[in-house]
Amino acid sequence: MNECLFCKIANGESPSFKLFEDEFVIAFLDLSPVNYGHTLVVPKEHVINIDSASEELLCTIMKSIKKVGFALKEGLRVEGYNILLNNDAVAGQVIPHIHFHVIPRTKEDKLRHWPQQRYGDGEIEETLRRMHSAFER
Amino acid sequence: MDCIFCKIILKGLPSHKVYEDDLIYAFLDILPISPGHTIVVPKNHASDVESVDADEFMAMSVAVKKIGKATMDGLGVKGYSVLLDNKSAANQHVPHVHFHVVPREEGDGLGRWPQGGYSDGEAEECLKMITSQL
Repeated sequence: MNECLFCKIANGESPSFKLFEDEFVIAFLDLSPVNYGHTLVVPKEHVINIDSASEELLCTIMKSIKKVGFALKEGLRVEGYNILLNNDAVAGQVIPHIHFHVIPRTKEDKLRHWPQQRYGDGEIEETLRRMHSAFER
Repeated sequence: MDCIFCKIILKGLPSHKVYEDDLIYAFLDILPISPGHTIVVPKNHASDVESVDADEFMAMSVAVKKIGKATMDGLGVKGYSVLLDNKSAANQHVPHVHFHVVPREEGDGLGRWPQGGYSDGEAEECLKMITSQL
């Protein structure tokens, strides 16, 4: 039996506040919203994370995100939104079925970016070298 | 041309280039949330998700996937966050659409934004307002 909550929502076994669905994607309200209208965009196929998602599926999800973002802006009259994907548990992914958060934003909300740091001497070059070496593998 | 990202892509303003293909350019953020924090942009100037060409928006996501993998393999991290701030209200500072790919580690202290809930009937009302636009 499939225990994945998002699979159950996708196949209609569990209820959701659904914005829309098509053959591949379903979008519904997060019931613990960061802001009013916070939406999750989820492929119907059980795919754990971006690494196991095909490029084709990713592109399909992107189209849905754009559609959802438009509806959030127009429907809720907000000025912008964040698109957020937490990829794997260490990044805060709680449900292991890939999902993009689309979070409506207003100038008045108090949501701020994560703090930024500076690289020490030579650190940025070393970081870049290690990332380039991964591309070559 | 006042756009800093266009200057990097077209005018050779120095950057720490991570990745490039026909449509996409990616480079290290010099003020990183964590080491390896990468900015992924379409080469053609588009200010936001609404104005970026559909194919380029999709190409951005494909590049994000490649860069995320390089981040994990190259830097040895076990996950990453992907973030796009659309419009200044959402903390977008450079009006040239871009994804952030932020490597993540256990105990990195990067918290979630606080979450709330909906009171009775509020979620239904919210949904009605949104779906009127779909």
